[in-house]
Amino acid sequence: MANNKDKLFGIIDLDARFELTQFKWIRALCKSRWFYMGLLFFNLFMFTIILTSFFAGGFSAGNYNFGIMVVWILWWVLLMLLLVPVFSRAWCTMCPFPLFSDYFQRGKLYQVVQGKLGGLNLKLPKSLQNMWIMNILFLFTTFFSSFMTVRPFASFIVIGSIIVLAFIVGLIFQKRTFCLYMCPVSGFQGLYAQFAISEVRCKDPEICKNHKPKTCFVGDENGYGCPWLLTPFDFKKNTYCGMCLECFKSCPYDNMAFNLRPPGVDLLVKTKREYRRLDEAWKAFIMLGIAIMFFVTFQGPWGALKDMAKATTWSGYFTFIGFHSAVSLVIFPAIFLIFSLMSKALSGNKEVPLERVFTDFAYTLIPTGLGVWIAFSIGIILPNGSYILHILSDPFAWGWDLFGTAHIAWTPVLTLYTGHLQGIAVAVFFLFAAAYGSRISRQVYSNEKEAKLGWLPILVYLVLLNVAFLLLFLG
Amino acid sequence: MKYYIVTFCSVIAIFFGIVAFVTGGDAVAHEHGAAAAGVPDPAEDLLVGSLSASPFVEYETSSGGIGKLFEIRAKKFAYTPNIIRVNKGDEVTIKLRAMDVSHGFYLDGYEVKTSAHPGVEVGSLQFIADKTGKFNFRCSVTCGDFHPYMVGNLIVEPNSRLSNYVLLVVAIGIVSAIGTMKRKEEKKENGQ
Repeated sequence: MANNKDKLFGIIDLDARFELTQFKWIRALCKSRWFYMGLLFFNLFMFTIILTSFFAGGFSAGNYNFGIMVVWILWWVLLMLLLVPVFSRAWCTMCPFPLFSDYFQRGKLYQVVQGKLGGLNLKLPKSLQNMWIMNILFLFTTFFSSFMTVRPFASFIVIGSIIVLAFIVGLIFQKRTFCLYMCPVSGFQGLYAQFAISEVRCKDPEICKNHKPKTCFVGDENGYGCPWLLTPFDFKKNTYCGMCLECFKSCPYDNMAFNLRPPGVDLLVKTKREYRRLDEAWKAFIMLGIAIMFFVTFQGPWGALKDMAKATTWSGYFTFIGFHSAVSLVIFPAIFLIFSLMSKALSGNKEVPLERVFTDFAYTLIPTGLGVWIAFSIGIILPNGSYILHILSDPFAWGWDLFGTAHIAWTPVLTLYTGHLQGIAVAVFFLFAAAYGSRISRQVYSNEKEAKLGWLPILVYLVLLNVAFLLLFLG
Repeated sequence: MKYYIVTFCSVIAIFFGIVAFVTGGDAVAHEHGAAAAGVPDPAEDLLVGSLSASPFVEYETSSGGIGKLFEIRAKKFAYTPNIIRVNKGDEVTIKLRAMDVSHGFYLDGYEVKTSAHPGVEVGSLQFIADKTGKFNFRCSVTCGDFHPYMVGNLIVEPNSRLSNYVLLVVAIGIVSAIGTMKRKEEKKENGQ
């Protein structure tokens, strides 16, 4: 952990927290089951419209389909620009996909049921309790990005499959096993939520220490035991907290808090139970690989690449997904491995395992990755955002004009500043990557000299990586 | 073992099935494009000869300067040439020719646009390249499923945006390296 006097850029105290739940109305919202259910049902309503629009909302082009625009433009951009960096995994709070399996397991929608939950309630094998399934599933899902982002029915298949899978997994495995270990959207949210400026944590560990039984884990008459299988009384990272807020309800001492905090402090967390892991490191590589492939394919000028991605020929398509997978799973990690080797060699430390150097430093890619995805999202929303006004007024392409915006022409906005905003996003998040990287180096190596020398190759890698992304966005 | 083989084959079969299903619409889209491409274009010989050696032709502007004229061919879902480079201050003329279905040309940052219809109309627009950097031009007429991804690049040299941000990132890297070393030296001093 960072020591108490450690300040980011010399000014931001890494231990500083501002408890939002000190305001009664915010705590009341967190404890209210109506608030939670309200969010869920709002999104259930939205997804009903989205799924319907995939069938009845215009088939000619994705840019005039409600579901396509809301999911792949509005939701994605909100996720990357606002929800994850600011509110951590707040999307998971309001995601309606596990609603059906929750209902099946609990037998109630609103009331709290104590005792054994319905379904088989099996535990996922220990070897699968990590991000690997999500890594593969998310990468697999992106194979269809050239179809599902433009063809409503392809989106229906993908999103419908996820909903059905969430339900089936809920019948077989305990609680939110699907969300925790399988949801394609969950992994990258968890990864980047480590950088978020908010967190759910216990307020006073001493109260939790003396409280038995741990109702936040086992549940009580007011709330379920953590559906995400965490121990809210002592977890230190956002990665696997789905922010369902059950722990606010089940804690009799009001000892849970929703805090604002400096961005990225989770990157320095390294405890016996919450350590840096290879599966999470690979998620960081996969996200960077996908960012590059998505950018060159969908925002780049290369028609041949678009033909490959949209399966104009089978050979082209399989070349595309093969290269796409290779970039994410092999090429990125391989390059990073070379720099990790250089780091270890330059540090002079022969005891530290290479895997640890590789894994720990891979967490510097989290701020960089988030910055890159924010830059990517800016390139989507500024030119295409105005389509949303159209589809909101006419969600099913039936000629409606609900809000008087159905006939607004496609109007790109602020495109003069796209490059600047992308450049700023990359540079600012690199600043954080560099700041946290030097601290991670101290955790990897045993003394200051080793940490200093071992950090330099990784810093060079990060500079090269960020310059490469600038070349993509601005060059 | 048999179970794994059957499962593996099933997954592969489902994968191919889904891909074949969702890509099935392509035939219709291409058919439409192919039919349109056969329509005679009254401006067929526009610039064709002069473009063979260079992506643009120079011409004298009304003020006596030199302008650059690009003929851009638009075909689902790409432009040819897909990247055009000019210098700051150049007068740029774009002639847009649609090769299959109707296409548009909207230039980010400059907010100018035109459209072209195969065999009917060649789009045209003119502007002074007074802002430097990379700007996307993109199709402004819905032309098919990949329409939102139909993009080209205009690069107005010198691309100071790129060089400025690259310098910024390199500077952050250098400052970070120096800062790390300095901080540790300070710690040593404190410790002494």
